Amino acid sequence: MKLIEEMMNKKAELEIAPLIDVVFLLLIYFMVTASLVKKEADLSFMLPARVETTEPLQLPIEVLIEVSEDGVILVEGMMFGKDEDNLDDLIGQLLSLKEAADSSGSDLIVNILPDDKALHGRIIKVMDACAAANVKNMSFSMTM
Amino acid sequence: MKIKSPARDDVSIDMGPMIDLVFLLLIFFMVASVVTELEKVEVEIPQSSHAKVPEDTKGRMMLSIDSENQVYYGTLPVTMEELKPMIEAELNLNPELRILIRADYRVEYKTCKDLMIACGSVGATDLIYATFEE
Repeated sequence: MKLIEEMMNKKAELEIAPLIDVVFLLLIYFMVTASLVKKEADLSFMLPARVETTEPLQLPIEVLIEVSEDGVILVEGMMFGKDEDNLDDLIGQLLSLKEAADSSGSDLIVNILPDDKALHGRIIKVMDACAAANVKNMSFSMTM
Repeated sequence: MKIKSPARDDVSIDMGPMIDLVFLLLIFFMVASVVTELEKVEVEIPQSSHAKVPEDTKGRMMLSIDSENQVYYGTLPVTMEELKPMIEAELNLNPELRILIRADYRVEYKTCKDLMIACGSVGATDLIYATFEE
């Protein structure tokens, strides 16, 4: 009897401590997932159709990079990127070409000609190497 | 003179404002995480280490290609033939249109090539491939 009386007298109070715990957990969850979202970056290029031709003083140096079906990269017939993930040799080659073009005062134009079955990931690697070598004019070639 | 001593009972921390603040933060992060996932097709775009994160993403048209070589305009699946008039219409509204292509890393070049040819045939020549920052 006494117990029931005691229970009745107790004020019905809202416990906020567990509420705050839950809200904090939710807060941390959303903060972490928000920071885990990876940012998307750009690799831009112009299709050859509209590349402005401003009467070049020097003939530009053109380089053709072929990407085969199985991911082998050929720069003017020289093979690069035998090692799957490491394209330092290609970047080095592009850098020396860029340097040669700069010293003669002409532009370096890189054309990429991938095989129809070449994977997009591999092409992006080649474009990334061009970006690493600071190549400004890069595009895709249509014909062999 | 009698100095009034501060009440001893009132030293407990006031929870009210703190809860308000935490709720606001919670709502902010919930909304932010929902907004970033909107309007994008789930594709595994390739990684690159020298791509630049854009500061200005205005005037862009987003196309996605998933691993099944299906092309999407925003989140709407389209064929190449349906896509051309769409690009043309966007290009008429904004001649400076840049086209952002979010292609899965497993996509074969043929699909990308067809898409680039479609873009070029209607006069959109400023293209961007999306990559993840490494």
